[in-house]
Amino acid sequence: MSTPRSTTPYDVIVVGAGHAGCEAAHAAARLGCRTLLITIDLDRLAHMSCNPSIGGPAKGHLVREIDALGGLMGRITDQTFIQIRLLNESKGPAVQALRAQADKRLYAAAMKRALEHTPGLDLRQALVERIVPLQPADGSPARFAVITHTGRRYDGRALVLTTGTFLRGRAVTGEAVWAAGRAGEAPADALAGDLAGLGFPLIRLKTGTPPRIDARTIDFSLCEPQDGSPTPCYFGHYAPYGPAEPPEPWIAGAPSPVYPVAAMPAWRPQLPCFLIHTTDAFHEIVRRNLHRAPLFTGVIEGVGPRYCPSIEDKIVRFQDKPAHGMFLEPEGWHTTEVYVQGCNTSLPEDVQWAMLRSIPALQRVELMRSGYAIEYDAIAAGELTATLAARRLDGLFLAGQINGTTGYEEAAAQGLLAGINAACWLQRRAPLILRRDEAYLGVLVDDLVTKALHEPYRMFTSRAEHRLLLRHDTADLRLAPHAARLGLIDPQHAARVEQRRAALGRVRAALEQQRIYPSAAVNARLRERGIAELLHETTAALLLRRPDVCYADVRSLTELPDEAPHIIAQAETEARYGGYLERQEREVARTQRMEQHPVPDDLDVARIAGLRLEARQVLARVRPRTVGQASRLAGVNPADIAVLLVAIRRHEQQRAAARATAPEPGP
Amino acid sequence: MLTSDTIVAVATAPGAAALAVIRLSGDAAHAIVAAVFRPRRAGRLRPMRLRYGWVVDGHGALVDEVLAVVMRAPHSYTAEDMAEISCHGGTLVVQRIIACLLAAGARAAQPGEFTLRAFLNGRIDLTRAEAVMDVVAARSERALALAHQQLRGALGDAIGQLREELLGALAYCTALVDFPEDGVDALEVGEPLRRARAAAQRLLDGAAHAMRVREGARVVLCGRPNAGKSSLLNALLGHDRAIVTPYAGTTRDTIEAHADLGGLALTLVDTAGIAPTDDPIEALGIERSHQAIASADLIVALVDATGAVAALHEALAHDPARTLLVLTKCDRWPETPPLVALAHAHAPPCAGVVAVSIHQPATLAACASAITTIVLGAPADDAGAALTRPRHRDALRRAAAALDVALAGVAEHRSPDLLALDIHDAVLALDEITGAHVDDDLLAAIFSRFCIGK
Repeated sequence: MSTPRSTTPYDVIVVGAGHAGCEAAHAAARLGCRTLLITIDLDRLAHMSCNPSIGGPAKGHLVREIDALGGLMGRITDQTFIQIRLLNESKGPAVQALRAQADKRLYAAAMKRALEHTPGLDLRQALVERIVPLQPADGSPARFAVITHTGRRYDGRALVLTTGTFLRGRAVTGEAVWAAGRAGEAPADALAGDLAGLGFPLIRLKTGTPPRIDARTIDFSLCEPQDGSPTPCYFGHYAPYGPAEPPEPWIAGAPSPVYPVAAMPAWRPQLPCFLIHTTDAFHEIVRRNLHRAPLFTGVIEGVGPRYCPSIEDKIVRFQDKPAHGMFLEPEGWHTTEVYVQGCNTSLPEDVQWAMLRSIPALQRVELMRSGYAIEYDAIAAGELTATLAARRLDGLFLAGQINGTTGYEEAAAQGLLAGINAACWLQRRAPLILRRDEAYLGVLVDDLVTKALHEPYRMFTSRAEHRLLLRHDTADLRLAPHAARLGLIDPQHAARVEQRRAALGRVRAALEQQRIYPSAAVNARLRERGIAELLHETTAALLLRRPDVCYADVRSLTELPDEAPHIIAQAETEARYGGYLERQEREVARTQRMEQHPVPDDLDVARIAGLRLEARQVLARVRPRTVGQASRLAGVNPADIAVLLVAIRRHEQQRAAARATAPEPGP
Repeated sequence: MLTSDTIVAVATAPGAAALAVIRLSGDAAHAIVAAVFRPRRAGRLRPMRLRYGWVVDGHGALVDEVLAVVMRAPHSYTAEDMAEISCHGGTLVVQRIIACLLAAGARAAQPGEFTLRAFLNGRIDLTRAEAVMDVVAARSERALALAHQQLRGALGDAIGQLREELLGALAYCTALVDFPEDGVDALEVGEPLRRARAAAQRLLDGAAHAMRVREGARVVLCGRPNAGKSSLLNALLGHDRAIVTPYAGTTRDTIEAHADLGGLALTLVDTAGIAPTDDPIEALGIERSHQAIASADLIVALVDATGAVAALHEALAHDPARTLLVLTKCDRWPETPPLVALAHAHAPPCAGVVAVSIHQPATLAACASAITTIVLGAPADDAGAALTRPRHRDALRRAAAALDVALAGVAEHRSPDLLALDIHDAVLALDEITGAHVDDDLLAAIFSRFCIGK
């Protein structure tokens, strides 16, 4: 079969334009690569095939990091959200996180516009049928040919695969099973075959989505509204550098009148979400129909995530829980389609209708789309390097659900990193590898490289052992230097971040230096402010650690710089965490030596004497990049690490000796 | 591990020996030794200069009389900052000093870690390092097998339960943070934490008990001249080891003997009687008596029941909590000697009071049983659940310390994300004993306990 050949090869071809693919294509183009993004449906770029929300604990942190690295997700969410909230406000600042409800259609439109405005990026609608690795030959540096369902061929020097749930996707609702990448879209079956043919081991995963209902058939008087934030908050790092991204004009107007809105916040119009609960009748209907539930009849074989159980799963596993909460989330500003968060299910459609109608607020409800489960192929662990490159094939990068993760934010973060590293690889620049103490993205990638997956991987704050250092208010401070070095953010923005860092440094230094004495005047002022008196001399920093003391209080007692509110808020946060923050910093410093100790690429771990068999197998499979990474692998104990270190040193000595005795190159 | 944190281990072979050497290596080695070492003459520790003094514990109590030396990097075995403490050879003395060093910030070394550091810092060659690593690997395999064996029984159950309590509390704190809107059912985390803390304490108490069963203890007999120390020694041994005469000052040097008392291996030490003297030889003997007392696990202070009250006060002058008061020559008084009643008034603070007579075997048996009871301490409730490996005890102590911080946090309503950090530290320490991985188990614990998910 002959296929028409494209004229000049692209630098980077990205297959799939979900959250991972859009960020990958944008980052690669931004770094000067001629980039092609191919997708099945150009109207569904960065489509939210599950809930319309972005952010939450750990996920919101990822969005802030994406933004700090010049990615799109934060900005586009800011333009299109119909509600935003700060979660965990009553808990520590390290785990506070933003979560937004986005307008789904608007999000795709805004993403399309952003990509259309990215120089060097071409968009194509096509189903990719085949991927053919090429030998870079004379004249053409292309390593991959991508062939579409219409037979058109595109050549690329690097390839980023972000195919989501499309690889041999199969959707299930009750007795109905159909091939699909997402509801209503065809899967990519041939592609999965190609990957298997290239030797990639595939695993089968499962996820699910709830029914969508019509707001016109909901009795909102029986729901508990949950309003958006009364004060401004954004994912993007505009404050304090400049004005925030304005909302799309669409959202500036009035929303669909079907939603009851008590008070529209002045800073930004927002819609509420609505809390409802399951009833006894609901549970009874589910239990009566378990024999028709694909999850329990064996129709579904893939492994679903434990943190995203279907409603039938929840009712079976937590029998003593009388009711489960569910949130009704509008899917957009104007649409009456509403997502039923907490109700993901693959029960037959008639059961979905009956169970929802057993809830008082939903007595007359109409389902616009039914819930379904979807099974798909993902690439098994052990195939990735820390740059998200495939070990098996040079120039191939993988991001998103194909790596076994779940979630828009996890996908977007990986896509960004894969796009950056594909560009760095082509341009022979140092790749971007983030450490675990530097970013949630670093934790995410390190986990993907070192851990075996048993279920779709989702980010949690508890996965980050140094989470106090990874607060959402420090994403720019942590990542702007990387972004500036790579050219992902403009120099003026990078300079402003450095100014912010310097101001914070001044406040920190002043707090450490200024001493406060328990004089009568000081104690009188403390009493005035309702603060316990001082008994001993202290520093401003230690005084600020007290839970009832704020920066203004301390500043009234001693000389401290007057900085912008965001700087002061950050200094207060650091003070509140006091000893904990120092402890994490010490732990990071302690493990640094191990993290920086590389495991040479050409070290044959299978032949290291004295290594236990289990450790040898794990090390050979995962091929850790550093000794620190090796020490985190399950099945590798401290004695194994000691043996590994000795082997590395011997290896280095032998290599040095070999170099010393190697003959000088001839004239 | 294997970083520049400071490690400590005893470098000499375990068991009874005159001396033992404890080594430290790492950035804080000098500071840690300085924190526990009180030199006899004021002044800082200087590299390669041997200093004489005492190790004191956190409460300022003397632990042992020692020689200490520090070495500055790279002029040491590991090429890091190092320190060495030469102390008396009793197992318990060594344990106490190591406990002080751990409390001051050192970490118990992994097997072979000193050599590994020496190698990594280029101090020893590859062949030597590899030889050591072979031993380490073999030993770690064996240690693991031993630990598993130990953990299969009552100990495993006790630690498993303890860990389960912590995992529940940790899952709760973590779920609150990661799933703020999932309606996680409220839990009073103080309860499981307190239960876990109490269980850890029982295990630690049991460990001290088990340690002594295994390793024995050093029991030092002391008192005024002619109080009957040598007679008691011979009576406890069942044969004449020391020369006994009616003359004061017969014993001029310390005499050691090994005895099996009720299945407990003890080193009994007879000492020269302590009294003002001008005789230089006797003075040397008395100096040795003081040294022996300092290194004792148990001080058996003998007081002549027919003698002066002042002797009773002298006997309590050392460390009452470690002292068994023995009133001797009770047969020489028609009824209970008045000093015995007086002595009973002092128990506590002293560890026990018995009245004996060499001529009344029943009183000797009572004395022997008092010695073993005090040395063993209270046996743990969890029969058989005893941590006998020092590294395991170190880990459990760290878990207990982390729990204390967490409990203080509960009392002052610290936010769950911070409580989670302390509880996580505690589980991490336990995992050093069990070999489990908290991070793998945490998510499972969350999803099995709380109904979570969109």
